[in-house]
Amino acid sequence: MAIAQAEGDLAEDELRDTDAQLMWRLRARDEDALGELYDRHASLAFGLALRMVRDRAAAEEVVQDTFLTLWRQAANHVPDRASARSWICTIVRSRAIDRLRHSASKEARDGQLADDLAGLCDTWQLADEAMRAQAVRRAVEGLPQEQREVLELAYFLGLSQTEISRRTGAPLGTVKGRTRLALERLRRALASATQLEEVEP
Amino acid sequence: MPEGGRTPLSCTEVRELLSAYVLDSLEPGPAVRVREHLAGCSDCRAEAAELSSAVAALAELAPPVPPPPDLRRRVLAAVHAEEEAPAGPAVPRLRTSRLPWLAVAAALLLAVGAGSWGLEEHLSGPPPRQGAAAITPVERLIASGLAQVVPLSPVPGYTGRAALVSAGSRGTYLLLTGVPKLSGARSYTLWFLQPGQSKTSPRAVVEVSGPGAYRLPEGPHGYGAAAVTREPSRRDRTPRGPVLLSTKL
Repeated sequence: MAIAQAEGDLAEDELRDTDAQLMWRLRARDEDALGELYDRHASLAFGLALRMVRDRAAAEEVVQDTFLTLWRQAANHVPDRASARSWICTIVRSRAIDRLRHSASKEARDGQLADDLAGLCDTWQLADEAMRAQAVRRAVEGLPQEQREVLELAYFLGLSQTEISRRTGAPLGTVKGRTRLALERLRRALASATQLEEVEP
Repeated sequence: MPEGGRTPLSCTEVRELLSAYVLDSLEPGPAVRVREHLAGCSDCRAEAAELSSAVAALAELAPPVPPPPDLRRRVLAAVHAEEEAPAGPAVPRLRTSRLPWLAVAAALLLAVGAGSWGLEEHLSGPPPRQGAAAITPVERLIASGLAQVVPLSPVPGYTGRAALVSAGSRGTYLLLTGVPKLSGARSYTLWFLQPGQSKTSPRAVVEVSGPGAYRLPEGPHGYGAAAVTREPSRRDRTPRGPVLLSTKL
């Protein structure tokens, strides 16, 4: 069991390295590296875009924008801090929100994306993608229904706190409190999920 | 939120709003105030970074869907077209986004590239001329990780960004972006200040009228601070305009 776990870790490390290496190649303007990152993460990107904009053509544009942005911003990626996967998801979401919020100015959105990417880090390192998805799903399912709801409305629909309050009928202060509790709880759950995987396979 | 309510937020207040902020769900008014607080508070920034990672993880809730096979070709063609496009006189890629500066700052915090003064021959073509807008080579230089980049911090609320890029024998550059182009005799002036004599005799290093990358006649070695001001007239050896961006060296 111990040996199997060690091998698993090695495979995960290799996977992570390769993604980081691809980001380095991207910094050096290697177009093939972008193709490889695309092969690896396009389904995730397209799935997320589709869930948010709910239109295939728009989702395709979001994915295209995302990889162009990744290409342009690769020089600013700090390897070891955030994974390529997290970067891609963050860009997809930002571009999808651009479309959901027609009124928002492009500049303000770019500013927000800049902040998001600059601050992004991966505090949990479940490299295996299936395991990651499962851990997140489990963590979110563990949240009280009303907390899960605010998280999903904010994340997938890009709603502001006021809009969530209007939609759910909960007072604004309550929405803010739920948002805070939900995200902090999710973070703790993900952190402990990571530790759990390390201790007992 | 009333316009006048500009008291800086405390850490406690920021923590209340931080989850909504990293979810990009906070209204613009409070979001600006949280951002201002984060700019000066590393504890809250670290907290925001951890919460951001939880936000990024939410993407895993969306089931992956294979995109149409043709999309890959379109994506790569778009990237290729962008690379092939001739670089215009003032390539505005840096101008449209605040990202490079934030990320450069983040990289510096992590001490990435510190002390990497020696620049190898990674760049093609001659170094940009003094004063000429030449963002692309300088951008490459930054991307190469071989240049030392020192961002200048904007005064609160200022949206322009600047950095000093030092690349050994290839010279030192001022990168200026997100600033409006000035008309007439007005200029953005970069000053180097001697350590310890803050206001007495700053040295005007370069005067420019708008965004771009500018080669400097000298590097910041030996100086204690650098600042960019907006000057009402050129060739004035005393700063008179407001300080827009500054950093200790």
